[in-house]
Amino acid sequence: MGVSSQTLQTSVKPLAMGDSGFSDANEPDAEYFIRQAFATDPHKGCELLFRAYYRDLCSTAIRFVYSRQVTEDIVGEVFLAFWTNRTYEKITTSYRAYLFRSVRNRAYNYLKFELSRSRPLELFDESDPDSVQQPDHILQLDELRRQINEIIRTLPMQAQRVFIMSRFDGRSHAEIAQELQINHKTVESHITRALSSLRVLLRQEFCLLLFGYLTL
Amino acid sequence: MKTVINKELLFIHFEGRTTPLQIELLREWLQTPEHQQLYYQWLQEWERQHPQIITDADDAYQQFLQQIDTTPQPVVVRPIAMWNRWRPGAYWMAASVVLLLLTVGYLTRDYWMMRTIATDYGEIRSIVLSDGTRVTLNANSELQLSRFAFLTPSREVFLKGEAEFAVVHTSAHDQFKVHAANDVEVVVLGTEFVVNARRNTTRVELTKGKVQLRYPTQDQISTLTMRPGDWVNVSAGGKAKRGHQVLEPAVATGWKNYEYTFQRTPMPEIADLLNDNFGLTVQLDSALARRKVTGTFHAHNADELLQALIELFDIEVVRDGKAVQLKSSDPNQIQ
Repeated sequence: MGVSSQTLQTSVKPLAMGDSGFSDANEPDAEYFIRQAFATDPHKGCELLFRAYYRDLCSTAIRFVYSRQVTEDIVGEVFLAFWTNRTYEKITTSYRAYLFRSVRNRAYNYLKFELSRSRPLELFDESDPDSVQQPDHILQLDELRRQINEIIRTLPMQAQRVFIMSRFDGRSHAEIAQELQINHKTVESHITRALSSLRVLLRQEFCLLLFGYLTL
Repeated sequence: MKTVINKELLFIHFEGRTTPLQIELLREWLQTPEHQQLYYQWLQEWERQHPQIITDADDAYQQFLQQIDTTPQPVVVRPIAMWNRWRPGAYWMAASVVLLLLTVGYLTRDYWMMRTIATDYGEIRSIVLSDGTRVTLNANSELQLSRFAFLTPSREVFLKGEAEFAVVHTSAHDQFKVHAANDVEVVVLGTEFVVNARRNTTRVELTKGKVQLRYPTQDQISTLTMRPGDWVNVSAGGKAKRGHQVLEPAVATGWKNYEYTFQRTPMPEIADLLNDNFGLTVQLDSALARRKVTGTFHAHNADELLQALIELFDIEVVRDGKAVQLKSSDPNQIQ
């Protein structure tokens, strides 16, 4: 697949670091109004953030955790912490980067806790919103997400349906068994197998991340 | 062909189709802080174009509003009609009396605005709050709540000791907050859970529903969402440990039925329990201090529990009022 000639428009230009922090030639006003809102009424600022990013934040989280309920919890927690710690007063880089970074980290932490019952590394100090990440952290999360997608995508069709109905929709085993007209035990074994593949994956990723973290 | 790092490449990356070599280029590109910002800008754009879930941002924002702290309403003092009949001088006297009352009232607000329920050693008490929430207080515990609070949307209580809460879910989704040791706040919507706020640790175990835990760490306030079966321990300094156990609510709330369940519980912890619930000061000899206890005991008072322990291990008890000394009868036997 070749790179089309239209991409000239979106190639990276050197970015100026102005006093207002990050400014991008492509979206000069995107966060300007949000920043103004926070200066006068933080509630309004948060409302604008919700409108701008909530759905996309949920989207990014659910690719990791695959559960609607958990996703909404995680994104809600991120906003709550953002408010409670008054991060909006300290942050000079984009709200978007902070929120997405935070959500992805929490989604990862949740998976670590849920699937391997171990306390995850604190990859992101949320009290320092402008801190620079290790590129490895970003890329490892991308890789993890890619592999999760692979695992679910390559499940046998019925197993995939069962897994998604259970985890994404939150349906009970009994409901799934009835709707798909299969045995209760079959439902359980599909889910167990999917979760155990994810568990194995998490363990590998954890080792890789740990290695990356230690070699700082 | 030289690869340019642009939005299109990142989109390919988000789809999971970048080659290892391209990822290496990205790794280097991401060293720059501005590029990291750009990464997230393009990530958001990509997510916008490929949404995985349909959500309602306005609804979520409303829930967010309910979760953040609301400022209390200021008290308004209304002038009474009777003043019209008073002499002008009396007006100033009345104003100063009102000021004095407000000041005294403010200074003693914890006393008259708060209602305190306390249990003695060995006493277990159940109460129902004005909203229907049931609280069962374990021995040697204290629950403080505002007299008027339950008429307003924010329901808050302060707990010292241990209690089980069965919180009523209101139609307006009002939150219920428990303040415990180490500045831990347990925020609930309607659920059943146990808070143990003794010594320097706060432990919360959730039986039913959903609970949000907030606790201060060094620079910030951390939040955790708990689901049934989860337990969390917060010790001083904001260190939190969490775990999950298959739901056995009998264990966490056994004390309501005067039942004590131990699972490889070290003796020193049992000594603490005897102190917390019954007010006994227990001394263990070094051999006993290393022992662990497993089992379920029924005990209405300290004597019964001690008796059970005596029969379980071969131990001697020397008791002097509230001070108890436990010694294993064969000091050469090491566990």
